[in-house]
Amino acid sequence: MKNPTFSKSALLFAALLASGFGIRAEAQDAVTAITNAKIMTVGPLGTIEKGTILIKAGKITAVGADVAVPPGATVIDAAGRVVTPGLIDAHSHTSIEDNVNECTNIVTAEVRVADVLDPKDINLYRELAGGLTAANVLHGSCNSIGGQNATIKLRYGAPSGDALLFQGAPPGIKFALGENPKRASFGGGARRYPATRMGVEVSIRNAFLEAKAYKKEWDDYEAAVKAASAKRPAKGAPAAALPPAPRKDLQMQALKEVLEGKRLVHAHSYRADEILMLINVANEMGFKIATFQHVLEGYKVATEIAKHGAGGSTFSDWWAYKEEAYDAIPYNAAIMASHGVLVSLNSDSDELARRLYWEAAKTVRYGGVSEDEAFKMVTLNPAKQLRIDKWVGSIEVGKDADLAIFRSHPFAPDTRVEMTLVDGKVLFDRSKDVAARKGVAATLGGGQ
Amino acid sequence: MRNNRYSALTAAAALAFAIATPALAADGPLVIAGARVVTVSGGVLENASIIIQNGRISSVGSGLTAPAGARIIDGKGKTVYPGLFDGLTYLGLAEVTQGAPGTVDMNETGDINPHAKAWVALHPDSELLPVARAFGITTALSAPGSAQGGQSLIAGQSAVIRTVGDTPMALTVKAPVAMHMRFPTGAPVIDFSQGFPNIEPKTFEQRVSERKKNQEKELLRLKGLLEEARAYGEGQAAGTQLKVDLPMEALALAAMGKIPVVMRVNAEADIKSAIKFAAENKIKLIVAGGAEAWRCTEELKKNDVAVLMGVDQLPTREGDPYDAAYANAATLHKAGVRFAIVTDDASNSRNLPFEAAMAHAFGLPRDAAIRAITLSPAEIFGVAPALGSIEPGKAATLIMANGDILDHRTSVTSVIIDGQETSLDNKHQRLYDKYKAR
Amino acid sequence: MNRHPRPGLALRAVTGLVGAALIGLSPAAEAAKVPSYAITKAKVITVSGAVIDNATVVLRDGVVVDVGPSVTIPKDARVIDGTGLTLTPGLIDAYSGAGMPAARPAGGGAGGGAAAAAPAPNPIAPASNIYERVRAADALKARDSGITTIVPVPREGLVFGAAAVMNLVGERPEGMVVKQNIALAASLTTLGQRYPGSLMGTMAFFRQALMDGAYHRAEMASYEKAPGGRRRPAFDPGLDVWADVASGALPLLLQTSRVGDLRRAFGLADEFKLKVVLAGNTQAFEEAALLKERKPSLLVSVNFDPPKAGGFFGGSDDDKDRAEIESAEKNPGALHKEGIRFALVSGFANDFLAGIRKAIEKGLPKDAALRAVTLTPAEILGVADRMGSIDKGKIANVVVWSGEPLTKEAKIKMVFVDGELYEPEEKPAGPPGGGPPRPGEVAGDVRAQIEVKR
Repeated sequence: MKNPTFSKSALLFAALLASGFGIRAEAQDAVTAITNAKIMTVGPLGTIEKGTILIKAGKITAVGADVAVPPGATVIDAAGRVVTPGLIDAHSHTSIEDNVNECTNIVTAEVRVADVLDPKDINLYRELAGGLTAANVLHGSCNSIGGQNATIKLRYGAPSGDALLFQGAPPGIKFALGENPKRASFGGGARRYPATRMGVEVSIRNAFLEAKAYKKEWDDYEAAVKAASAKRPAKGAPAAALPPAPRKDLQMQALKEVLEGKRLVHAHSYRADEILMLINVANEMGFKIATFQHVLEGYKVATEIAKHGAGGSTFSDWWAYKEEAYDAIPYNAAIMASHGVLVSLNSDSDELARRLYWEAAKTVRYGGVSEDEAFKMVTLNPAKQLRIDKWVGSIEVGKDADLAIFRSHPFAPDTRVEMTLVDGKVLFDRSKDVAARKGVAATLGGGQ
Repeated sequence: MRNNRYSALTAAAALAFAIATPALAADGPLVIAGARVVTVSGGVLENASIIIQNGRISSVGSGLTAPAGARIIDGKGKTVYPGLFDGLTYLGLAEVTQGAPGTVDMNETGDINPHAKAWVALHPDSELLPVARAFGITTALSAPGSAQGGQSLIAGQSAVIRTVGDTPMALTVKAPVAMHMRFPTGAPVIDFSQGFPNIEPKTFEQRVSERKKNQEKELLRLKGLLEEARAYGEGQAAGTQLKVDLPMEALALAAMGKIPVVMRVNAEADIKSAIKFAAENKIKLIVAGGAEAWRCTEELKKNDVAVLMGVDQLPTREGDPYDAAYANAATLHKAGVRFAIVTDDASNSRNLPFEAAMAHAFGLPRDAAIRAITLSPAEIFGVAPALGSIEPGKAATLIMANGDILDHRTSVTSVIIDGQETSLDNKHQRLYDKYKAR
Repeated sequence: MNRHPRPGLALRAVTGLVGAALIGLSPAAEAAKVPSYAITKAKVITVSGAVIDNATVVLRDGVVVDVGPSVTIPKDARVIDGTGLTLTPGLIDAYSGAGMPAARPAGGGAGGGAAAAAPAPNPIAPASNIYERVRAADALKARDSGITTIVPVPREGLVFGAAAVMNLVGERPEGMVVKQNIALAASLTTLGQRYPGSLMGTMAFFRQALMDGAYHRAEMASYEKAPGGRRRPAFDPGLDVWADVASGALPLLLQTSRVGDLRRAFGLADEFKLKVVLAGNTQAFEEAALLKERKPSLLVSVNFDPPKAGGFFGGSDDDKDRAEIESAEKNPGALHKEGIRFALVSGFANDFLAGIRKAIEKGLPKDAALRAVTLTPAEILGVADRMGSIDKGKIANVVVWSGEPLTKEAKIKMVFVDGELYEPEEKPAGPPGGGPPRPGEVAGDVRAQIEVKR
């Protein structure tokens, strides 16, 4: 992130921990133990039928069946419950303040979702209540090249938008293909370029040709500066004149970072043709696509997606809501996965984001994905797609204590999330939530 | 004239509350043997059999003798449920809702469309029907005036359909079922398909007072229409109404209480006003949406108003509990309010059991959750004598699954509609087969 | 000018005459015609110091020449018996829509069926002067509320131009200007169909503009040093203004309406080393800790229920809207309690006084409220050396009240601006004419929200 306020956010977050937003402040050496739980680690330890997780300073310090609880630890007894890694949504627009789209230009690579995060968006809390702990918050799909994403942790109530940012997550950017950037299915308004998939291709190629020229300008300048500083002038002689710096263009800067492999491309796509188109443009221009988003016809070109090395982040079963989703099938995730594509299931919705665990379960039904692989699609796989699997996505020693505690197996029809932790802090606790209800809200669910 | 005759026919059908006979010629006798049978009306029977003859269930239980020549479906390890009934959809009325207006027939233009009839526009070869069916949806209410862009105050009449059939008539189980309306909230109704309009910014106080004023105006208008229709209907019955007025003829069905009125209404105050309005105007109200029904259980119960509700929704107010929509059904169940769980969708209709599962996870007992997607909608729409549970005499419309129907991992293995085992082939399966090994 | 407008044709005739008579006169010449006044036996709330009972205030040549319990009354002064009356400094509305045209409806009308909106003025006009857009006759109506000084701001647009402190006196906007170009005024808003159409876009726009301003300045300087053999850089007055902002020479007066806008503004200020004055902030108390740490120049709006283009999806959350209004009303009191310094501004509210009274009712002490509309805004605007309190030598901006100032019972009997007397007409209840009733708080382009995000 180029945002200079970013470096500050570590400080802010420390302050946030100290202020104990959510539940309460804890000393850095305090230990939390989750005991007696069935633990689906989604990691090398597999599923532990009855075990303990120790958490210290927001990190997992021990996992296993025979882990001793140190004296003084805060104990969360999870007997009969199932602990999983916090869920991760690889496609979200949650907590964005104001418009999700900067829709006025074909390319808006300069705009940053990180500028407009609202840590008090109630949907963050509602999503925590569905076990979600991290999300890829993306610009909308209004234009061929949209704005810069923000990978966040769902630290609801944090003091600032910056404090939501996932430290260390590489920056990304939204691309969009098909109906949305060509504005095909939206009534009224003047036709804006592009109005066809042909135009979408042109707009992306054109932007990257410009970006390459921009990159060259800066590379040349930086080389000249380096050369000038290397040439040690003779004593008393004037220093070598530096060439004037090129103008800094925030839009081109973001695309330059894509060309340099520093910024992940998340490409909204539906049809097989446009998926292949973008792969070709990327190959021509020399960049990589990190994920195809939605990628509802990914199953038709799974081999090509796998060959490019892109991930696929899809819906479990949405279809027919628009023309380009008419060939969407619920077996998409299964087929892509079987072809070697790294697959995640996303929500693109503050509502669906609350039950991604069941979206994963559908993949068992549609295409016979194993339960372990299915659950990875909402935990470890999105973590890998967002390049944050070093910290999250599975329950392993050293990883962040981002955890969901379910009432029963996350795929079971009576399951629900009882507790969610982010960085070892309990940010959702159903029993406390229910106990705090007053008036008519206390009658909800028949006073269950 | 043609329209005229047809209206008269449907009106007669409504009066008789006839349930159409199976559209398809039934196979010979069929037996599902040795299955777990969730009858909904009579508990769960382990290792039971169901005998199907002439499209109907002739007996259910254990120790039954298969009729001669019966085809046997092995139910071992399987569970049989009544066919799933999605109590609010636009199945058959729309194919691709956004961007392909030529395939969309659920929202007529204009504000007053009581004479729009879902069953005349059903598309038997909609790809959505086999998809819904393959995942257990055998029966649905197909209704005009969807949540997606429905602007009409009175949207038209719905039909109960089966999800298999070669013609609209073959799809139709019962019609008309209900008159569909939007309860006027007073909020501006904007047709976004015409582009984004200029909206004058207003203060909260202005917005609230204008909404109230508009609502009063709209309710007065609706009241007037109902009174007019009632007078029309009475005139028609007395033979004094000579000139045919299609909207009035249709609306008279609702105004005279011959069919219920399904009103889309979500906010607490609006639900309460709708109940009051229905009582004052002597219409039989069914609430569709009902997002804040949990705040109105007393009124709903007292007036015996049923609710068609979705589950997988966000709370309507920021201050509401996070699970307000999830626990809505359990709240109504506990209070004794009648309700069905519906998708209010078409392509997503197959997710009906999952919405019921969410309600179950948030307090609705398992049997009530299954009832809410089978027998309850059948009762609400007056087709329970034939549908909604597994009982002798009822239509043999049932599904068999390899597990708990509320479980996302479960697959539906057989779908029987009116005694006929239907194909599970569908667009998704075909594309899967075509591409899985590419 | 002491005229008492009466409705009807006569008014126009009178105005026309007076206007004609003044044409060609310099402000100084106008001022010369103003008589001296001595208001005696009044209670004087100086704001800068103590409250003086039974005091006399002498106004002459547009300034306060004397104030105190025993002062010499000049012979030529018109003496006003101030028995039972209270004097306060003239109210300063440091973020005002007075004299500015009404905003147009939200949305963009792209293909919409509604009537075409009037063409908007350029919404991005850094090199323009806001004072030139002020309709003097409309602006003067704000004197009915005891307002003597305003910083006018357009109700719509993104970058408004050079802000000015203006006294509500005279016929022509340039004659009203007390201090020009105190800041570049802009808003963290969006332009709907035009870039930036989102808050993200707005942030990017400001960043790029500040960078481009600085780049432009450097380019110009480099050219000046050695123009030979180089292509002449294009003159760009807008970038020149941005350069001034980027160098810290010119403050940025930024409308910050959302809670999060505070941090956005501080982020920009830190990134580019800007001086910022923040206006709006109706929920700023939520960031009290931050404000205590940063101590910004803060203008807090009393426009508690700004118009919004909302509610058309049918799913309006009245509970939330109501709670927001209530918390905005409590905001000034809460900020004061936290010891945070701020000025109260109308923020396009129709009735500034009603807003101030509401803030008092919800916890802002009366004396703090008065300071927040007199001396504090003068300090923030950099004009405390000439206004904001009743002190010898300051501009003769004084309000004469019957009853306790800023209470519902209070009546504004006289308003002196630059020493010139204006007597508000006794009016039936209702908001004084503070300008057209459509504040600029439009909800941005909601088009994107209705599109399926999938």
